[in-house]
This record gives sequence, structure tokens and C-alpha cells, in this order.
Amino acid sequence: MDILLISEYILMASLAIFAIASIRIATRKTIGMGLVGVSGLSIAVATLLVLIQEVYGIAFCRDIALALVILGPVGTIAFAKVLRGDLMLDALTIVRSIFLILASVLILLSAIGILRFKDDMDKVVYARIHILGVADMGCILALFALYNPLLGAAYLILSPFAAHAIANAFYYGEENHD
Amino acid sequence: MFITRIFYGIAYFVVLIYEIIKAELDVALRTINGDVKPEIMEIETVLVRPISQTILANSITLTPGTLSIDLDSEKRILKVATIVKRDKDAVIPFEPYIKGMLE
Repeated sequence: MDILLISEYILMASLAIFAIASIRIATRKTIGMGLVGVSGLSIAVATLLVLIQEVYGIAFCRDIALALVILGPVGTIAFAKVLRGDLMLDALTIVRSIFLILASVLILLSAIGILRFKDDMDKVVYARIHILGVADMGCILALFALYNPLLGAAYLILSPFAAHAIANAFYYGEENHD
Repeated sequence: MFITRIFYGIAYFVVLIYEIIKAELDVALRTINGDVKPEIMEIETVLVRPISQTILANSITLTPGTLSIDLDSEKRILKVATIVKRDKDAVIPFEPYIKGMLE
């Protein structure tokens, strides 16, 4: 074993201990404590994911780490604003925010999924169309949450036709049948 | 009966939304763990009218993880691409509701 790998393992262990400590802080009763704990947890998990990619060679960990690094501070800032009393917070706002965050998670997942399969895989076009469906649903959910139900409904009806057209054209045009 | 058709229509939308959410989570999980192996299968449907066959094909494509490629209206055969190998009933769970709604 070389010295770099040993130090990476030491960093991993210390990050795991720090993550557990952050979770303990986050379970305290006040919101400020929760914010401190969650922001510590997010940067710890992001660094941990980069380390996992470095040690075990799992490629897509870095994408998730990028999302965590960007989204973690943004979320912390938003909740800190709420804590200061700048933003109104009622039930409908919370529901809409949950829908938007759910949609962004789905869109990020499909962005990862559309890139990670190799081009020489069997029938990879269909896999990519399936994964595009996830992003479609995420965008429709976001459109409904942003009070544009007409656009959302129109795309809900129209998107299957587009997906079907791609698949049909590929099946009869490019794929070789025996 | 007209009333039962309306009932079947509402039930169809509920089942469709439930299936979309279920399939959505399934496909999102598959993009993470990489368990993807696309297959093409042929499904024989009991629906006769072209409009109900079109609605069935549209619902299949709307559900993530299944995708209708071709529809033979006279032989009543759908070509469906699925994200992994699935059996026939798991692909078209809303067929009886469309049958009750339009036929």
C-alpha cells in the first residue's frame, strides 16, 4: 500500500465521523442547529463521494457531488432567509417547493443516466428514450408547480407522440433486422 | 351504460397516474444502479376500436420504462420496447379500464 491510499482512507474515516457528528447536531430542536448540521453533512458527503470515485472508480459519483456542492449552500441560504423572516412560508409554498425540488432531483438523475451508458450497448437508443421520459415527467411536474397547467397538460399529451416517433423511425430506419 | 363509462374514465386516470409514479421511481432507480437491458416484445391486445388502441399505445409511451414502437390495428398487435424484460400484464395494467371506458 502506498502513502496516498492510506491517507485517503484516513480522510474517509474522519469524514464519516464528521458526518455522524453533523447528524447529531442537526437533530437538536432549533432550526439554526439544523442548518449548521445539514450544511456540514452536505459538504462531508460531497467530499466523501469524490473520494469514493477516486478509490473505487465509480464514475458518476462526481456528478452527484457537484450537485450537492451547488445545491447544499443554495438550500442553506434559502432556509436561513426563512429563519430571518424575509420569506412568507405557508403550506402551499412548502408543497410547491417540494414539487420543484423533486422535479430537479428527477432531472439531475436523468442527466446522469443519459450519459452513463456506453454507445456500443445493445439497443441503447431505447434506454435513452426511457430515461428521457423521466426528465419529461420532472418538467411536467415543475410546470404544474409553477402554475402553468396548460403547458404541462399540452406536453403531457404531446410527449408520447414524440417518443413514439423517435422509436418508430429508429426501428424501421436504422436498426438492422435479420 | 354512460355512467359506468365515466366511472371507468376516472379510474383510468387514477391508475395511469399511479403507474407513472411507480415507473418513474423504478426508472430513476435503474439509472443509478445501471440495471438497464432494453428489450422489444410484442403484445396482443383485446381492444378493437382504433381510438382505444391509440390511447393504449399513448399510455404505454407515457409511462417511463415502456415505449410503443408500432401498432398493427387489424391484427391487434403492439410492438413495445421495455427497459428490462417484463411480462405482458406488467406493461398494460390499464387495458381493462380503457376497455370499459370506450368499448
